[in-house]
Amino acid sequence: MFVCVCRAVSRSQLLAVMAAGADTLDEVERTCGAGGDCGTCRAEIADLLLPRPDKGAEPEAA
Amino acid sequence: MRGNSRIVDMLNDILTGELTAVNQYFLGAKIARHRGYEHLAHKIYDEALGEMKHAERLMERILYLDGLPNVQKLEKVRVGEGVVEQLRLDLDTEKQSVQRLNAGIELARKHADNGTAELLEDLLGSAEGHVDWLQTQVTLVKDLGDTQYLAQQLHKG
Repeated sequence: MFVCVCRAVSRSQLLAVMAAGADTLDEVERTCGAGGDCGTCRAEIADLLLPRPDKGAEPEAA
Repeated sequence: MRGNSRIVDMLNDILTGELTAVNQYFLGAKIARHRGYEHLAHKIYDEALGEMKHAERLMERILYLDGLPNVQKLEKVRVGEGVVEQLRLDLDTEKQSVQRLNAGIELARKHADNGTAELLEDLLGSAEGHVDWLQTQVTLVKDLGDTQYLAQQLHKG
Protein backbone atom coordinates (compact mmCIF):
# COMPACT_ATOMS: atom_id res chain seq x y z
CA MET A 1 0.00 0.00 0.00
CA PHE A 2 1.16 3.55 -0.70
CA VAL A 3 1.20 5.17 2.72
CA CYS A 4 2.21 8.54 1.24
CA VAL A 5 0.25 9.07 -1.97
CA CYS A 6 1.67 12.57 -2.59
CA ARG A 7 5.24 11.25 -2.85
CA ALA A 8 4.34 7.67 -3.92
CA VAL A 9 6.08 6.00 -0.97
CA SER A 10 4.92 2.48 -0.08
CA ARG A 11 4.80 0.81 3.32
CA SER A 12 7.70 -1.49 2.41
CA GLN A 13 9.82 1.50 1.32
CA LEU A 14 9.04 3.23 4.62
CA LEU A 15 10.02 0.15 6.64
CA ALA A 16 13.27 0.01 4.67
CA VAL A 17 14.23 3.63 5.43
CA MET A 18 13.29 3.09 9.08
CA ALA A 19 15.42 -0.05 9.23
CA ALA A 20 18.25 2.01 7.72
CA GLY A 21 18.08 4.45 10.63
CA ALA A 22 15.35 7.03 10.00
CA ASP A 23 13.71 7.15 13.42
CA THR A 24 11.74 10.41 13.42
CA LEU A 25 9.07 11.87 11.13
CA ASP A 26 11.49 14.58 9.99
CA GLU A 27 14.20 12.03 9.25
CA VAL A 28 11.78 9.88 7.25
CA GLU A 29 10.73 12.94 5.26
CA ARG A 30 14.36 13.94 4.62
CA THR A 31 15.22 10.42 3.48
CA CYS A 32 12.33 9.58 1.15
CA GLY A 33 9.99 12.58 1.11
CA ALA A 34 7.09 10.74 2.76
CA GLY A 35 4.79 12.97 4.82
CA GLY A 36 6.22 16.17 3.39
CA ASP A 37 3.31 17.31 1.26
CA CYS A 38 -0.32 17.28 2.44
CA GLY A 39 0.62 15.58 5.73
CA THR A 40 -2.39 13.23 5.80
CA CYS A 41 -0.13 10.19 6.23
CA ARG A 42 2.05 11.55 9.06
CA ALA A 43 0.02 9.80 11.79
CA GLU A 44 0.35 6.52 9.89
CA ILE A 45 4.12 7.02 9.50
CA ALA A 46 4.40 7.85 13.22
CA ASP A 47 2.57 4.60 13.95
CA LEU A 48 5.13 2.66 11.88
CA LEU A 49 7.90 4.33 13.87
CA LEU A 50 6.56 2.93 17.15
CA PRO A 51 8.39 -0.14 18.51
CA ARG A 52 6.18 -3.21 18.34
CA PRO A 53 6.01 -5.69 21.20
CA ASP A 54 5.97 -8.67 18.79
CA LYS A 55 8.93 -7.44 16.78
CA GLY A 56 10.99 -5.75 19.45
CA ALA A 57 12.33 -2.30 18.62
CA GLU A 58 12.49 -3.05 14.89
CA PRO A 59 12.39 0.51 13.51
CA GLU A 60 15.27 1.58 15.75
CA ALA A 61 17.41 -1.42 14.83
CA ALA A 62 19.52 -0.21 11.91
CA MET B 1 -36.22 24.79 5.08
CA ARG B 2 -33.62 24.89 7.82
CA GLY B 3 -32.38 21.41 8.70
CA ASN B 4 -31.05 20.12 11.97
CA SER B 5 -27.32 20.94 12.20
CA ARG B 6 -26.43 17.45 13.42
CA ILE B 7 -28.13 15.97 10.36
CA VAL B 8 -26.25 18.36 8.06
CA ASP B 9 -22.92 17.49 9.76
CA MET B 10 -23.69 13.78 9.44
CA LEU B 11 -24.56 14.19 5.73
CA ASN B 12 -21.30 16.09 5.21
CA ASP B 13 -19.35 13.27 6.89
CA ILE B 14 -20.97 10.77 4.53
CA LEU B 15 -20.27 13.12 1.60
CA THR B 16 -16.57 13.20 2.58
CA GLY B 17 -16.53 9.39 2.47
CA GLU B 18 -18.24 9.32 -0.93
CA LEU B 19 -15.88 11.93 -2.45
CA THR B 20 -12.88 10.00 -1.11
CA ALA B 21 -14.30 6.80 -2.62
CA VAL B 22 -14.78 8.53 -6.00
CA ASN B 23 -11.06 9.37 -6.14
CA GLN B 24 -9.95 6.00 -4.80
CA TYR B 25 -12.08 3.91 -7.18
CA PHE B 26 -11.42 6.16 -10.17
CA LEU B 27 -7.66 5.84 -9.66
CA GLY B 28 -8.06 2.09 -9.04
CA ALA B 29 -9.93 1.74 -12.35
CA LYS B 30 -7.27 3.69 -14.23
CA ILE B 31 -4.43 1.63 -12.69
CA ALA B 32 -6.25 -1.65 -13.47
CA ARG B 33 -6.75 -0.51 -17.07
CA HIS B 34 -3.14 0.64 -17.35
CA ARG B 35 -2.00 -2.82 -16.25
CA GLY B 36 -4.25 -4.53 -18.82
CA TYR B 37 -7.09 -5.72 -16.57
CA GLU B 38 -9.83 -4.24 -18.76
CA HIS B 39 -12.67 -6.34 -17.34
CA LEU B 40 -11.94 -5.39 -13.74
CA ALA B 41 -11.24 -1.77 -14.71
CA HIS B 42 -14.67 -1.46 -16.32
CA LYS B 43 -16.44 -2.66 -13.16
CA ILE B 44 -14.39 -0.41 -10.85
CA TYR B 45 -14.97 2.58 -13.16
CA ASP B 46 -18.75 2.03 -12.89
CA GLU B 47 -18.43 1.94 -9.10
CA ALA B 48 -16.53 5.26 -9.15
CA LEU B 49 -19.31 6.86 -11.20
CA GLY B 50 -21.88 5.38 -8.80
CA GLU B 51 -20.14 7.03 -5.85
CA MET B 52 -20.14 10.33 -7.76
CA LYS B 53 -23.92 10.07 -8.17
CA HIS B 54 -24.27 9.33 -4.45
CA ALA B 55 -22.22 12.45 -3.72
CA GLU B 56 -24.52 14.46 -5.97
CA ARG B 57 -27.64 13.29 -4.11
CA LEU B 58 -26.03 14.04 -0.74
CA MET B 59 -25.10 17.55 -1.90
CA GLU B 60 -28.66 18.17 -3.06
CA ARG B 61 -30.04 16.99 0.29
CA ILE B 62 -27.60 19.17 2.27
CA LEU B 63 -28.59 22.20 0.18
CA TYR B 64 -32.27 21.37 0.70
CA LEU B 65 -31.59 21.45 4.46
CA ASP B 66 -29.91 24.87 4.02
CA GLY B 67 -26.45 23.50 4.73
CA LEU B 68 -23.30 23.91 2.67
CA PRO B 69 -21.90 20.71 1.12
CA ASN B 70 -18.25 20.37 2.14
CA VAL B 71 -16.42 19.34 -1.02
CA GLN B 72 -13.09 20.56 0.38
CA LYS B 73 -12.50 17.68 2.75
CA LEU B 74 -11.20 14.24 1.82
CA GLU B 75 -10.12 11.27 3.90
CA LYS B 76 -7.03 9.19 3.24
CA VAL B 77 -7.21 7.76 -0.28
CA ARG B 78 -6.10 4.12 0.05
CA VAL B 79 -3.90 3.22 -2.89
CA GLY B 80 -2.64 -0.35 -3.27
CA GLU B 81 0.61 -1.38 -4.90
CA GLY B 82 -1.23 -4.09 -6.83
CA VAL B 83 -4.72 -4.65 -8.23
CA VAL B 84 -5.51 -7.43 -5.74
CA GLU B 85 -4.38 -5.35 -2.77
CA GLN B 86 -6.59 -2.54 -4.09
CA LEU B 87 -9.66 -4.80 -3.91
CA ARG B 88 -8.96 -5.43 -0.21
CA LEU B 89 -8.48 -1.71 0.46
CA ASP B 90 -11.71 -0.89 -1.42
CA LEU B 91 -13.52 -3.47 0.72
CA ASP B 92 -12.32 -1.71 3.90
CA THR B 93 -13.48 1.65 2.50
CA GLU B 94 -16.90 0.34 1.52
CA LYS B 95 -17.45 -1.42 4.86
CA GLN B 96 -16.72 1.90 6.57
CA SER B 97 -19.32 3.52 4.31
CA VAL B 98 -21.95 0.93 5.33
CA GLN B 99 -21.26 1.63 9.02
CA ARG B 100 -21.56 5.36 8.48
CA LEU B 101 -24.81 5.04 6.53
CA ASN B 102 -26.37 2.83 9.21
CA ALA B 103 -25.46 5.37 11.91
CA GLY B 104 -26.81 8.17 9.71
CA ILE B 105 -30.15 6.42 9.20
CA GLU B 106 -30.46 5.97 12.96
CA LEU B 107 -29.78 9.67 13.57
CA ALA B 108 -32.21 10.76 10.84
CA ARG B 109 -34.99 8.57 12.24
CA LYS B 110 -34.29 9.90 15.75
CA HIS B 111 -34.87 13.43 14.45
CA ALA B 112 -37.94 12.36 12.42
CA ASP B 113 -36.12 13.32 9.19
CA ASN B 114 -37.60 10.58 7.06
CA GLY B 115 -36.53 12.13 3.75
CA THR B 116 -32.87 11.93 4.79
CA ALA B 117 -33.37 8.42 6.19
CA GLU B 118 -34.89 7.26 2.88
CA LEU B 119 -32.02 8.73 0.87
CA LEU B 120 -29.46 7.04 3.12
CA GLU B 121 -31.32 3.73 2.97
CA ASP B 122 -31.11 3.86 -0.80
CA LEU B 123 -27.36 4.56 -0.66
CA LEU B 124 -26.98 1.78 1.92
CA GLY B 125 -28.48 -0.78 -0.45
CA SER B 126 -25.95 0.22 -3.09
CA ALA B 127 -23.03 0.17 -0.63
CA GLU B 128 -24.00 -3.29 0.64
CA GLY B 129 -24.14 -4.53 -2.95
CA HIS B 130 -20.64 -3.19 -3.50
CA VAL B 131 -19.36 -4.82 -0.28
CA ASP B 132 -20.89 -8.09 -1.47
CA TRP B 133 -19.15 -7.86 -4.86
CA LEU B 134 -15.79 -6.95 -3.28
CA GLN B 135 -16.06 -9.80 -0.76
CA THR B 136 -16.73 -12.19 -3.65
CA GLN B 137 -13.61 -10.93 -5.48
CA VAL B 138 -11.44 -11.29 -2.35
CA THR B 139 -12.77 -14.85 -1.86
CA LEU B 140 -12.14 -15.69 -5.53
CA VAL B 141 -8.55 -14.46 -5.20
CA LYS B 142 -8.15 -16.67 -2.14
CA ASP B 143 -9.64 -19.72 -3.90
CA LEU B 144 -8.01 -19.30 -7.33
CA GLY B 145 -4.77 -17.53 -6.46
CA ASP B 146 -3.74 -14.10 -7.77
CA THR B 147 -2.62 -15.31 -11.21
CA GLN B 148 -5.76 -17.32 -12.06
CA TYR B 149 -8.03 -14.57 -10.80
CA LEU B 150 -6.22 -11.84 -12.71
CA ALA B 151 -6.21 -13.96 -15.90
CA GLN B 152 -10.02 -13.71 -15.81
CA GLN B 153 -9.86 -9.90 -15.60
CA LEU B 154 -8.04 -9.20 -18.85
CA HIS B 155 -10.85 -8.69 -21.33
CA LYS B 156 -13.86 -6.46 -21.20
CA GLY B 157 -17.19 -8.25 -21.37
